[in-house]
Amino acid sequence: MQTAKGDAPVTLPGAKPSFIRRVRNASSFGIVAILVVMSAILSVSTSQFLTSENLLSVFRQFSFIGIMAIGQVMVIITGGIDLSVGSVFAFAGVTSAFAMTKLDLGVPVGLLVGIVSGLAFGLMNGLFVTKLRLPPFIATLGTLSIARGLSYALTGGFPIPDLPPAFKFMGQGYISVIPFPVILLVVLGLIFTFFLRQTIMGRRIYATGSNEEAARVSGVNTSNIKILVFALSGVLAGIAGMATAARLGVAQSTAGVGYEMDAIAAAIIGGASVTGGVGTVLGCILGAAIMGVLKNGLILLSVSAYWQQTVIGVVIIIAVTFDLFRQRSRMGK
Amino acid sequence: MIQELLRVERVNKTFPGVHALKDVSLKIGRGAVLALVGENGAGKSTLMNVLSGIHQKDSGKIFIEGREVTIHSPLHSQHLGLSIIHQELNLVPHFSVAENIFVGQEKKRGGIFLDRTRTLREAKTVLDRVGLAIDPNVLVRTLSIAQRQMIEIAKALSRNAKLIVMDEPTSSISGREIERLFRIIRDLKANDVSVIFISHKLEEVFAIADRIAVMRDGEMIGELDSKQSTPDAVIQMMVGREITDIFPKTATGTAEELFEVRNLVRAGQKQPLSFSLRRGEILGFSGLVGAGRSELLQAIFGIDAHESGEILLEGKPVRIGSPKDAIGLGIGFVPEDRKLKGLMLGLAVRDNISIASLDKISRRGVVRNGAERISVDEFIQKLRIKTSGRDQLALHLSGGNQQKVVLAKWLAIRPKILIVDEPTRGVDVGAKKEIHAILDMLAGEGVAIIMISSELPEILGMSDRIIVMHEGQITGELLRREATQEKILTLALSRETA
Amino acid sequence: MKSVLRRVGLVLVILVLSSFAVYAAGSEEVTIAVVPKALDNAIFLDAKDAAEKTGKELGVKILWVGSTKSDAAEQVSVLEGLIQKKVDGILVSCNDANALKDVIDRAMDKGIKVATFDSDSPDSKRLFYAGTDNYGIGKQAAEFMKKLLPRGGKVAILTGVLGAPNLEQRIVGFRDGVKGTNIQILPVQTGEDDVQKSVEVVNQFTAANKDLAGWFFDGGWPYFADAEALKEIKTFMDKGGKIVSIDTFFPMLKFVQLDMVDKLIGQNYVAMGTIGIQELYKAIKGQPLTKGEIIDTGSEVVDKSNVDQVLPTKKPW
Repeated sequence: MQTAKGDAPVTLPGAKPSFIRRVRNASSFGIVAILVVMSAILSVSTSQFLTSENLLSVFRQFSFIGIMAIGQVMVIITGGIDLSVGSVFAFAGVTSAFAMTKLDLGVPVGLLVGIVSGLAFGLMNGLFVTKLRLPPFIATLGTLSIARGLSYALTGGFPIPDLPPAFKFMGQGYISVIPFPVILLVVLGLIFTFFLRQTIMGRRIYATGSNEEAARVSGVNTSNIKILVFALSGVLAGIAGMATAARLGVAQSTAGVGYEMDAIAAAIIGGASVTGGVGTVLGCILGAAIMGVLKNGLILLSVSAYWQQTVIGVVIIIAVTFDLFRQRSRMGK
Repeated sequence: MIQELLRVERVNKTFPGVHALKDVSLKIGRGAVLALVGENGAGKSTLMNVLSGIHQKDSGKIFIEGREVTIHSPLHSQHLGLSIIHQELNLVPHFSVAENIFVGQEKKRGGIFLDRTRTLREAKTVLDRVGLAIDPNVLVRTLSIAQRQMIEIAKALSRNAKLIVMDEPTSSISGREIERLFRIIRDLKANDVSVIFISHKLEEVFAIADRIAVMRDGEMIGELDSKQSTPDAVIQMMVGREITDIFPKTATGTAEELFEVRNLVRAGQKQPLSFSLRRGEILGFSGLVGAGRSELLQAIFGIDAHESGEILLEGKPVRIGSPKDAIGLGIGFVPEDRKLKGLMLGLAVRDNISIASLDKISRRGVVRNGAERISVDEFIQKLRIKTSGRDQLALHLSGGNQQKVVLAKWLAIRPKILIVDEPTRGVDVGAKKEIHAILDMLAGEGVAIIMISSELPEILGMSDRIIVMHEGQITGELLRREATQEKILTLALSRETA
Repeated sequence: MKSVLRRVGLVLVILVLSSFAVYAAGSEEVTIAVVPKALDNAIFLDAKDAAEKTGKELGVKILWVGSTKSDAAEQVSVLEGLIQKKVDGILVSCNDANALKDVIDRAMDKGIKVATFDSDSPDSKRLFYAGTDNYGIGKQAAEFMKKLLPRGGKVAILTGVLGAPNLEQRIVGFRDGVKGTNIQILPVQTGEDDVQKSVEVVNQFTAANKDLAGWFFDGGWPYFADAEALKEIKTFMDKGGKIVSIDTFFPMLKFVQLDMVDKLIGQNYVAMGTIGIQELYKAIKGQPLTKGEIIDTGSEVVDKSNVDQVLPTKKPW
């Protein structure tokens, strides 16, 4: 190829900015900062926060939302949204409990049933969105009702108690001092972080969300990608639902009401954008952590329940705005 | 009366990592037409954005009719009499023509109610001025790019602009429409409205501008009187070096037939189309805007459906139902509109380059970072893509470099056939030459290239064969040695096949 | 082609659905709709059974309808639907006293007889309220707590959905009951009617307040979980903490046996269902009401002393 003389040199790619710069630019920096600040304030205001029992309890508490948020963030990255996860959460808990107690099929089958329940609704969502071209908001609003209704129909409204001890370990057990749900969250978090960043599928998920048309022209089967993320969201909601039922020792058709909002909030606080193409697993787990620490903080500080909702709402707005400003400056507005 | 309309004095503007405007000064008189030329990344768009209030200058002064002004916002800029028509048209597709013309300054009755009668009436008046015979009630999304451009001009005129900046106004129009545009510009001149005309097409610049201002790398290099200068002189100032030929074509193609399209009927069309493509040849597709070239190639690539017809690759019939199928067969497609169909602007350069060829840098579904880095860097070097790094967002690259990223994406699949639709649209002369050289090199390596272009010099300079289309039909085929601008235009304008 | 088929299909579906609606509305027998706070909340099921049994005896058709979650706005829509359907009577447990007032009044104005159970809307035109004297049981809980904590101390309160009138009354009753004693009530915590949230809140708050002396649960949500999920409560009780809880549903009773709660004060949902339907039927038939406007369906107390006798009388869930 001909090179004319006196050209401006092409910038060599890959010159790495300094470490501090990279840390500050990392998309999760804002969230981590908020979390650290919140924790610092709480450690100072109450002596109970920084105890290992409290921290592990908080961890365990937000791990269920965290697991659901992992699925949710993948859907949000593709530009969609999944409102059905709260109901699927309950449905999976109830079907797996039913299989284990009423049908006596044993714990492994129970787990499988829960996962398949989540998968079924996920696929339903995916097909509604891709084949029927329903907007995700509408489609998942529909499956939200269907799943909730089926949970009620299956149980008649009664909770299902007496879950097998092996199953309950998933929610109540510990591995050394760490509650099992936390381990579950960490493992799933690692798996899906790897999945999104390092696999072909993960790249295609981001591509679909960033510019669906361009992704399609580049050979990505965007319909399949969307079905995939909805399916994963359903499965993860199912896992979270079973873990919660295990934690309480009963499965209830009333479980998970409103949890989809918490999952979405966790993803958005974690940096996902509703327009798609942006979001990380680490971010949404941190988002769940922020909400968990916040709720815990309010309880520890004996804030009346009547004020808790307001405070949570305000902090979420502050967290998202702070991060939005950082993102905007990064994009060079 | 003050003769000077606009004076820009030593304006600077810096973005993160880029000093986009370096002490830029500019003057334009009333009723003058100034062309602003320069490579992409030279700073023309930034200068226009500062004038139109989208960005704030860091330092320097701006004078309008002798008075110093600070331009706070696009609205303020409009009030000062500056109107800018961007390359990416700012129309609302779901609104009607009339509504678009008056968006932001709607005709009202009693202060709150929309006055539809007045809107329509005044819209018609302005449309007549630009010579566009269109029903003002029609929705903009049904119109062609050429028509939309006319509406943007109408919009500017309705705002009584003193200065209209046109950014690449002829990038999507041709022939008669360009003439019409020039007529309008001359009209504006006669009415003391000044025009800044940003374009890469030097023959047009020399045809319409009084003076030509040349920018390079954020600096104003100089101004030339169009009547006393030549395109070569301008090009030299633009690139700072001598350019000997624009189309470095060396390869000539082979006789081996690689690809054949037989009787393809696009969805919703009636006309069957056929053509063939040889290994190593560059097949140019010429025709006026709206002739159906992009649509045909999009149907072949699987972006749109086709109702019937056969496609044969290396003699064997193949089924292309989606872009994925086409890519699997070794076909690449650089689309006409890179922002819409070519790039994922929110993602990094590396993601954009590797997206179509992920399987080549992965093992068992997992992307190997090292392999990706090597591959992406190779393309950045090879195509001379100006970027701060492979992690820079595609959003931040200039038009020419964005186009190179799209090209890199397709080169990464090691294509047998590459379809490029308007490959150098919105690209500066230097990058244009580089892209042509790349295409030439690819052809030399045996890649068959289909190139759609509305620039006759480009078609004539690059193609081994030229197929001309007119209103959905193939009207003729010309070999390189027998092709002339006149023959192509004749075929492009008429319905008869040559 | 596709869009035509879709439209035809839609029309067919609408036709089928409306024919059902017409059929349903056109029945001659008396219909009473029973509307709990939420359909899938098991605590109302005793009332459901009792209402249906009473309905059968009286030859009244009972419709069990409601929103899937405890949401006032949804409940209002449900009632509006029932007004359209022209049912004869509505027995409703209100999610919010004020939110339900308008729609209850409208129903009454249209000739539908409305009464409330479990959770009242006192300012509305409803004919009567059959339910627990919520203020009363709150006060009763306070009496128990005073006896359990003779020297006073810090007591926490767990409630459900904020603003629910029956819960609010219980809290007021409790506060009034402990006035003038050494019992200090800490800021109210909520589990939002969700079992998991209730468990988490109780666990965290208990762990956070080492000097906590007692808990008042104005609803039994924590005890719908498993004993293992409530380890902190067990630790709390073992250290001398005291807990008084409202509700005596079947799954809660074992916790009395496990020493994880001191006193349970339960509501009589069976009576609510039975009396509610009986009185409403009288009103529909134009007969005078005999039990007055506020019908106290009573409460029962379960503790270590009687749990073994009470247990067999409860229907297992």
